[in-house]
Amino acid sequence: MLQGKELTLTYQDGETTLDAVHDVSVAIEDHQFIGILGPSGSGKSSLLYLLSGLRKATQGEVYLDGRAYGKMPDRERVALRRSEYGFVFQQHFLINYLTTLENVMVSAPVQDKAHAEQAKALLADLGMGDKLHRFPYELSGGERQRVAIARAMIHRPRVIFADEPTGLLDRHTGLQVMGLLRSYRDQGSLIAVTHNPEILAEADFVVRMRDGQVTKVEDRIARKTQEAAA
Amino acid sequence: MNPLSPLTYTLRHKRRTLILTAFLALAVMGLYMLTGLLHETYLVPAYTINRYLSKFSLVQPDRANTLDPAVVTQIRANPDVAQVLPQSNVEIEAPNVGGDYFPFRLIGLQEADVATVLAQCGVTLVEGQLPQPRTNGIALSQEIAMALDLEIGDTLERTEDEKIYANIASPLELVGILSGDVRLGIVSYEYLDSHERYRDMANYGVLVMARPGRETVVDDFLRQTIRSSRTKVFTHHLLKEKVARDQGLLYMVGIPLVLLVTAAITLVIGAINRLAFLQRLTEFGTLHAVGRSKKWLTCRLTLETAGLALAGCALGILLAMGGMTFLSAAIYAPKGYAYSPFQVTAFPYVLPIPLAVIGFTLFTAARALRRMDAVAIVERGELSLEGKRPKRAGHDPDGDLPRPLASTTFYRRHKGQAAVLIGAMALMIVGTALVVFIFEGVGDVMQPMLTDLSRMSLVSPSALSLDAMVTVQIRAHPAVERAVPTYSVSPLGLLIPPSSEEYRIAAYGVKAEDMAYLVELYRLELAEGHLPRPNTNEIVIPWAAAQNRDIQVGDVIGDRDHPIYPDAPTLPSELVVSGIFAPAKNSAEDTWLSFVSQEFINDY
Repeated sequence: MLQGKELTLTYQDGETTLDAVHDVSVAIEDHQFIGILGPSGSGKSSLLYLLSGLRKATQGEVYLDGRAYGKMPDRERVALRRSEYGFVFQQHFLINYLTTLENVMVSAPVQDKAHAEQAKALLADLGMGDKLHRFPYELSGGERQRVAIARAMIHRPRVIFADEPTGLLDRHTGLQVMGLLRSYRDQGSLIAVTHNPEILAEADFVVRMRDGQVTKVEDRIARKTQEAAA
Repeated sequence: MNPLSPLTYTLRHKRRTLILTAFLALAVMGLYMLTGLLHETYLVPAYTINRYLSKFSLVQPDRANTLDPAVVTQIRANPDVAQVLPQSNVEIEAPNVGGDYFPFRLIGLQEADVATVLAQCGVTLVEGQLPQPRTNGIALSQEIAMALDLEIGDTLERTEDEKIYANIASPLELVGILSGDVRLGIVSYEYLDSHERYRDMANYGVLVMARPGRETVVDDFLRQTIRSSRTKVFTHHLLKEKVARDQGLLYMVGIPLVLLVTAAITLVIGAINRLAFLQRLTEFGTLHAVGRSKKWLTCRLTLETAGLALAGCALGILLAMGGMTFLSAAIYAPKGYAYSPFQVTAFPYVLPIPLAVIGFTLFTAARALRRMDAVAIVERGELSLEGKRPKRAGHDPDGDLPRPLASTTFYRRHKGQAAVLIGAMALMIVGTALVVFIFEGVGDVMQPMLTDLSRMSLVSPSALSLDAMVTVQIRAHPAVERAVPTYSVSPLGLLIPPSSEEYRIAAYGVKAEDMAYLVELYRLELAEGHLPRPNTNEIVIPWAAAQNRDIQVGDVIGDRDHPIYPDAPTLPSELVVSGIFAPAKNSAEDTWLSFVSQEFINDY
């Protein structure tokens, strides 16, 4: 279980300070899909970076299965990201001199044949089976993002963090990409940050943010349970 | 292909890899060949052609024609000495490939001793015959014969080459070719001794062979006990000392050169790597975000560069060895100076290049990656948000007119990069020009040596005195204004860095009226003191000598017990500095002329 307690992230800009995230607490259970929704500058990406360990909280603490990030040395937090987390960013950030298959293998825990086969299978599932040896500049935007998703999934992480994963895609491709990400719920949790509520239609929880603070939490599981009971 | 292997980036960027590897290879090749060729041209031959001193030593009188018999007795009495053979020798100048000359002794041996010396040196006769007693025959090692371009039946004579055969008073005929590791030139002792002109000028002495295993002890004995102001010794130890001094000169010139070239190459490659690093910023940010540590990234970047640097270095060494093999076969071997292309001496000069490149990459990568912030890269494409200050465009000389397309705009906004590239280019040029600057400087300093002969010529005998008929003939020539009888001595030497050699200046012993004439002729003026008076041990020296050796008027030159400077030459009689010439107003007219009283010299 991933839990953020009373998280605050303060940026210093000259003599002024700015709380990108202010006193936010969230809890994510395994196999849940959490959406973080808000306009630009609302602190949703910052919250994602705090939960993934890419940023250290100015105040508060993040726990993974009870282990506090703050008490982990940097080396351990980096290792945690490699083994337990997967990342999909707004831009694909594929390495341009590596092929599709090699870009996925970048996140494989071991560079061996078994993982290569696993990467091929994963890419085939994502509809990229015939483009294993293409370079990123030979792919469309949607295809690149699919490769990025495969890269995030290859090591079977417990949590995938997706920061505006459809931000640069057209609506149709964006929905396809979200469909691929949602499919990962069988294996782990998904935390997606977006300003587009449409792609969070199937989220279990939606955390709405504004000015670094949580304004509303929608518990769609509870709502579905209530609706089912009614 | 393993996407995380350091080779992947290198192999997927072949053009960049090729350029960097070629750049490194050319630098390594250049330094390797420069060092190797300097070594093989100037250092190795100086040792090789005198390597006979590793088999025997020579003892000769200093400023006398014969060795003191007591000295010979003392040498013979040493139990570590195996044999003492009489010898006399004349020197020739063996040319090297670089246009320089090395003194080489043609050793006169008695017929009975020739076989002993050849056996001691492991040298055999491969063509022709050994010199017969009382004949002008000479046997030469084949490498020396090749250097002199001689074949059996050819003669060595002064008219062929005034520089090489300056001491060959009468022609010698090449009758035999010798082969072996040791270079030898053997003539008949009886011939030199019986020939009137050689008898006056040959260096008589003894050749000393040590008992097996006692070579060092005998070497020490000769240097420490036998060597004196009247007796010169030539031993293997002294030869090695001289070669080491010359090697020191090579290092003195070479090390700054290597440092400059290495620094320049490191900066250029550093600048290129920096550009590549900036282009790959998102790659590193992403890899760090997905769980690759900064240490891992630093290691990978360093390994990428290390691969390039080592490949470039290996390629450069291979190319250099190829080039040196070609030069050895095409130029050096025909002159008797064939060498191995594997130059151990060159390695210390070229290995700093890959090491510096790797070290610099490690340092810069570690520094940049320490600041790296994956979020800053992912969000803004910048290495870090820390210490980010708004940049000022700086003063625009054209006022408010924006010049976005000007050729200078990029570098004015990227001053660090511009400084690195300009610095690297400057270092390369300085590195290349340094050698030229140093040797040009030495050449300029030695200009007065040439000026000395700008208004007069010298005619000197190959024997002790000049033939009277020659003097009459010179005086009779209508273009000759004046013939000045003179003796010359070398009381001082100048030390001109970086050379470790002493450049001797000549003091001419002339009569008072001739001295006045020469002073007038060269427009010499005294800075201090007065000209030497007749029949006194006074000497006037040039300003350069006074400065170089810190000599004042009143100082004594030539004193064996109190040398004017360490290792100063000793003179049969001391000279007192009575005057110092002022430097010429026009430096091109500067001379190193020095005068003493001829009457005084005559007495000695």
